[in-house]
Amino acid sequence: MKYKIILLASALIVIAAGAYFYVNRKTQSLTDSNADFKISAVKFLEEYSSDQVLSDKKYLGKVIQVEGNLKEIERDDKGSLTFVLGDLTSMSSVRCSIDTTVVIDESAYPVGTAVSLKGECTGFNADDLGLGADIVLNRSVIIHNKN
Amino acid sequence: MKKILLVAIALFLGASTSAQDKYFTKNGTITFDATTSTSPEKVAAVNKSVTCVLDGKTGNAQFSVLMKGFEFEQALMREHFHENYLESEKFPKALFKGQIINPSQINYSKNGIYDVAVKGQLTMHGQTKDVETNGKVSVNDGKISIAAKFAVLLSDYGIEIPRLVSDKVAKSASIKVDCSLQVLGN
Repeated sequence: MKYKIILLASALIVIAAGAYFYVNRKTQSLTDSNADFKISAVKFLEEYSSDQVLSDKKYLGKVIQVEGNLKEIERDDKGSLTFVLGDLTSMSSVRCSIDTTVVIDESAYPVGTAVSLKGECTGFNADDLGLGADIVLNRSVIIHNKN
Repeated sequence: MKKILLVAIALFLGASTSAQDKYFTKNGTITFDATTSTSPEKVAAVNKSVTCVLDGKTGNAQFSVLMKGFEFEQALMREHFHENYLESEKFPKALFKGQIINPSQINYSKNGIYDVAVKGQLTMHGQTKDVETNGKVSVNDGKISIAAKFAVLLSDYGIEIPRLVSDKVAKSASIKVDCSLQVLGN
C-alpha cells in the first residue's frame, strides 16, 4: 500500500513538473535546429514573387537556410541587426533579423560576401510600396562553415 | 545662360524636395500587449520588422506587418497566438492605411515633437476596421521617428479568446507603434 502511494505521488510530481516546463518553456534559439529548407536568396525571392500563397504554405513558420550575397547590414537605434541578402543590383532582398541573444562582429562580414544564415520565415512583402519586395526571416543565426 | 542655370537649379531643388517628402523603414517596431491584472505573466509580443512608408506632404501613412514576426518570450504563448488566436498562417499580414490629418503642422526640417492625429483602416485577421488615434512625429537633426499607441478590441477583428483563458487575456489589446524613418531614395 505504502509503495503504491509513493509511486502515485512520484508520478504526480513528474507530471506536474513536466506540465510546468511545457507551459513555461522559452522560445528556443535556432542555433541547434535543423533547417526545413535550404535555398539561395535569389531563388527564394523568385519563388515568393511568382506565387505568394503557395510559398506561404510551404515556408511560413519554417526554419530556412538561405544563402546569398550580403547587400547590407542594418543596425536599428536599439542595436538590433538585420542581414540583407540578395542580388546586389536588385531592390528585393531576403532580410534576416538576427537573434538578439547572438553577438556578431559585423566587420567580419563586408558587403558582397557570400553568407549563409538560417531563420524562421515570417513572410513576404510584395513590392507594393516602391521599396522592393522582401522575405523576412526572424531569429536568424549565421551558419559558420566548418571547413 | 544665367537663366538656364537658374531654371536648372530650380528644377534640381524641386526634384530633391519631392524625393525627400517620403520616409520609410523596414525595421519598425510594433508591440502587442493583451496583459490583464489577472494574467499570470505578460501577454505581450514584439515585431521588429514592420515596414512603414510616410508621405510627409500628404500625410499618407502605410504599415505592413507580417504576423509571424510577432515574437513572445514564452513558446507556448507564441504558439497559441499564431495558431489559435491570430491564425497567422491563414492571415499572414496586417495592414494599416491611413493619413495624418494635420500634416502641414509638421516641419520636417525643424527639430521638435509634433502631435498628430491619425485616421485610417486597419486590416487584421481578415477584418478591416476604422482606427483613429493620436501620435507623435519627432524630428531630431534630420532623423524622423513616429510613435503612436492605440487599443484594438479583439472581437472587432473576429479574434476569439477561449473561455478557459478569457480572464488571462485582455479583450482589448494595446498596440504600440515605434518607427525610426529614413528618407526614401537615399
